[in-house]
Amino acid sequence: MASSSTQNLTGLLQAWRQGDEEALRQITPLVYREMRKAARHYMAGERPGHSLQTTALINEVYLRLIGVQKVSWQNRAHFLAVCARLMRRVLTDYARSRDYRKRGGGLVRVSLSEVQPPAAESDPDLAALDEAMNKLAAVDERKSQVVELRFFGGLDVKETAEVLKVSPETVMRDWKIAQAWLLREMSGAKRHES
Amino acid sequence: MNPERWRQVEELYHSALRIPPAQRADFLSTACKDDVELRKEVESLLTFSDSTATLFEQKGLDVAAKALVSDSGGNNQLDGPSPGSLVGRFRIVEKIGGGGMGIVYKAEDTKLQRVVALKFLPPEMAEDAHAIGRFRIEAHAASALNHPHICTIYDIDDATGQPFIAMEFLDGTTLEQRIGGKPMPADELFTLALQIASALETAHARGIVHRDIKPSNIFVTSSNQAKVLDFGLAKLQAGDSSDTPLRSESARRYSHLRDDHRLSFTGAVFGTAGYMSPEQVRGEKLDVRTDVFSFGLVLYEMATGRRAFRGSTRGELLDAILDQRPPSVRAANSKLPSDFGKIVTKAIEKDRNLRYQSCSELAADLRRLHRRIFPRSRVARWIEVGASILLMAALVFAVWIAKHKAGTPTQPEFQQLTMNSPENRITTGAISPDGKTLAYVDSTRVYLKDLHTGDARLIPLPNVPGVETLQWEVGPWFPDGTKFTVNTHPTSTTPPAALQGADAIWVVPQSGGMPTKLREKAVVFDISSDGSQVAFGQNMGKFGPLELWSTDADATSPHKLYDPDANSALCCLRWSHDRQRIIYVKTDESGDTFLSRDLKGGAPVVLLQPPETKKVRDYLWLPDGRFLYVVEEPSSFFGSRCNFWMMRVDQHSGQVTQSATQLTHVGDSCMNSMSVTADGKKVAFLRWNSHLASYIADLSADGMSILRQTRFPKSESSDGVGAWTPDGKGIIFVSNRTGTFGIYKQALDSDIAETLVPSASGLLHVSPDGKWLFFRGPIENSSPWLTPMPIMRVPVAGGTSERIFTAKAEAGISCSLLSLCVIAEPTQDLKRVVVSALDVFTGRGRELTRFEMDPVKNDWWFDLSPDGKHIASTASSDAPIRITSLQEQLTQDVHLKFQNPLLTFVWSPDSKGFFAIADTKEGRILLRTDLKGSVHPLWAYEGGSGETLAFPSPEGRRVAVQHWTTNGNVWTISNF
Repeated sequence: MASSSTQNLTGLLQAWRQGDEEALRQITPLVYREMRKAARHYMAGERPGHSLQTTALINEVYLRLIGVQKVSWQNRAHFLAVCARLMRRVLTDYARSRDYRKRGGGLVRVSLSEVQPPAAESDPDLAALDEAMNKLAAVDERKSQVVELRFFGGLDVKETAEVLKVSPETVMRDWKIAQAWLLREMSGAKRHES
Repeated sequence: MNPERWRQVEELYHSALRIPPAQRADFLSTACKDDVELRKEVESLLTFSDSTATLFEQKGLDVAAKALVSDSGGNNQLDGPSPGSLVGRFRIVEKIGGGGMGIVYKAEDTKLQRVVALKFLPPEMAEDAHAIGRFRIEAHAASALNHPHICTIYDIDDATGQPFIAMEFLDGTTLEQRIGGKPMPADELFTLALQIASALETAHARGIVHRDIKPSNIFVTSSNQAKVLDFGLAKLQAGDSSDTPLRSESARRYSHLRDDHRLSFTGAVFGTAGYMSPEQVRGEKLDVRTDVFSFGLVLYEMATGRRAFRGSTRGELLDAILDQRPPSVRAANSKLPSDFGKIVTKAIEKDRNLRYQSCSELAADLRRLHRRIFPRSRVARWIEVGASILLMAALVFAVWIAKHKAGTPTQPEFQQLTMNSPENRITTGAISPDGKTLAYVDSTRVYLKDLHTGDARLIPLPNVPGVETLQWEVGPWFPDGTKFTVNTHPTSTTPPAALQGADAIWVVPQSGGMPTKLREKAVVFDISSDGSQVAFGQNMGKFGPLELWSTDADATSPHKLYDPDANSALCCLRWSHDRQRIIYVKTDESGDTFLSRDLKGGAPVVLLQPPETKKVRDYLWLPDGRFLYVVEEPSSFFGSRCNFWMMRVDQHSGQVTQSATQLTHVGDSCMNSMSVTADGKKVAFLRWNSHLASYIADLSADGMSILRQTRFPKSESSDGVGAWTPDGKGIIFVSNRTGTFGIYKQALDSDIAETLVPSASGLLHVSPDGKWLFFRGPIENSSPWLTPMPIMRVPVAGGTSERIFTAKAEAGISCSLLSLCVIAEPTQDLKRVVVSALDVFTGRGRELTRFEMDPVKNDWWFDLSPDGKHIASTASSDAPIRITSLQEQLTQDVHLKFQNPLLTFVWSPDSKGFFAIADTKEGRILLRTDLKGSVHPLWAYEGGSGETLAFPSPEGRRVAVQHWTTNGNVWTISNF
């Protein structure tokens, strides 16, 4: 487990992409730290919800991840795609672990009455979104990727288009229908398969 | 949906979006014509097209961050609780300390009305998911340590988003304050030192290393009891091996906390780094010997009143730890015998290989010295305590008696190479030819460990679908030490697509890099001493591989060596040094026969044959002809008892030149996965054992959580709790402590178990009047799964046991608290289970009810309710719990809100629900359920396997649990 790889996060990302879950375990704390930071902004009454600010934040995560500018990836687009995938995985895992805790799972022993009720406006469920995205990928993989890149990766339309090698117009169209599809899927509305 | 259809949907959707909503219906009915499905699909998507604002306006990170805010209560939770606030069931009283390892609060347990200490991770660490994970794992491990000189952990909780530990609130001072810069009186010094040593021994025996032993981490209560604090938590501070204390970012981040903490007391000496071991300073992987070093420094300070190492800067201090010798103990305290100084010196050797190798060794020397310098009467108490601890140590791995060459006694030497916990046990290992590196596999991954520095590094796994669900097994090294082999095997979770070729041999470069596949559908046996040939088995039959093959290291010229006859298998080839001869095992109906054979031809020579070889587990053929093998003893219970044997087999003739002698006498474990260094001097092997362990858990007042759990009885044997004594003050359990299983009774406040039945096991149930114990009688010479089962009774107070009657195979018993006992017996066709009354004297009575079972799975379960009026049963582990009223024969199904297979369950004493054991991916989980199916997890046991059972005490305040635990670590044997 000892390695110099804590310094070499690009390598970790690459390793993770090749299926090395250990690498993810090492990257996750960095993403969590950023998440905590965003949480602190909320508590201070700030609104990092504005997408520009969040994008800056995510970019900061990326910068931290690559450390220096020497990205040995084939190209920037590829790198962004991997980062988006990473964000999706980490944030979804967080959502799942959170659900698990709320159910009282794991080692935590708390009776359900002690668990706080969900916030009045129910939080969007990232775990459910992740599952819905998997289903969407089975129908149309690119649409799922668009959501991954934009929602989890924080990329703008142009960047997304660059990564997927399609026109920005296509990204916009994909983004629209993907959102509707996913929301429907997550709402549990009955769908008919053809 | 096919792509063409989806494209249609997409087109229509976008077209519809471009026109005003009011006109969309018309547009769609025209465009879709009669295709109603298409229209519905587009319409339903359109209904979601305007509601996108809530989720997708944000980014994923925001959504998660908001969730985090709501998790942490939206107020000050991110930076620690304030006095008066409630955290779970604890009300914060005041902050009583804050150090590198966390912030400690005095708090009140509002449910149990007691004062506790709550320790929170510092906010900087609480952000780190990895740290939280470790915190939880380590705290959980530490919570299982029940020892009078280890601070008791009551609870571990992270429900509020910020993990904390609830522990014993101690009244007294730290050892640091107790020392107060002056040498301690000798008797006090020895009393506390032996207490601390005993705490460390216990922890180390369970694979828990403290890593931060220092006077401020040891508490001395007002009744003069030492209590070691923060067990296992220090791991966080040091990080794991990839996260070294001096180099890593996390350590730099946290180091100021340590420094601040220390400076706030004295303002002078720099940091608690003063108690680090040299290997800790160097950032190496740590084992128990780091605690030996730190404990040595604590002893030094107790004896002299001064720190062994000092420096005005951190750098100076660390240099001192690495290079300097502290002034002798004797010079500072002439009242202590010089042998005390020698003990300290040996404990603080810079080279950990020269140090005491364990706290047990150190403690033994301390005790000997103590006995010598104090009158016997004064230390009688200590001898007693010491003796019981020494006995434990002896059971661990001590009794090795060797007879070698015409009876000349020699002492084989053993060394433990890994210190993994049962949760992460090692499953196979192989030592490199130069003896410097160990390749091993834990539950999931392949590692290379540098045996000099202790650093372990992870081997990357190849990018093959399903590869992470394979089981990896380390095979032999190539003689030049540049690469080694691993074998993969499928597991129950291997996806079907990956099964093809799951049994494969891989070659792993020592220098790093991806393993490459050498051969599919094969198992590796040996590599010839010149490195030119890899021997493997291929074509699995019912006894194992059917054919012996060999190939060169590039897999370019595989050729078959031998085929067996139709009804046997060939296995486990070992080359002679010159590759002219082989030893292998032929397995058929009669068992294993060990043969040696000249590859150029000639008849095979029989070395060992059944029944001698009945339980040979592994073997090696060393270049000098020594043939070392492992035999499992007849009394062994799931690998509880194996020994090394040795004979000589001439490398050229293949004949036995010296007959077999037993090399070791091991009482408690088995060995396999053997490998040897190139010089033939050191053999590495996996030492493992499986045993039943029992725990007593105290339940909270509402019965919905466990306050504390204690291993009971504390022993190294297989002890499986099966019932409570009628007064609820003791347990009845099975144990193989004498070598065979018997039934015992022991009060919770006693160290002594009373024998009820010397030789018997299982199915323990106390009759409602509390006078009799039912148990399963002996079944001879056949499988308990098929044989009718004698049902016995014995007085709970002790006495003669008698057979009552013989029940059908696989029967189960249950007794209510008040009136009734029942016996459940599956029918011959395994489709139904018949439940009949059971009487202590007359045996089976009238049928009360019957329920269905799954004949294929055959894992039904049942229990009689405490009031004797209902039977709860499951047809299989996937079925709901069916409750049948015996009076009206009405049934009601309880569907648990828990997905995993339900293995066993028992009614809670108030009849309002069950204690249930379910199977999880990680192991086993104990749940408390109600009759509506809601579940509260009480306790999760990672790494658990086999049968786990829970038994609530009659008054419902405790629950006794038995489960299986398996250890595995790599050791070496030399000088044999």
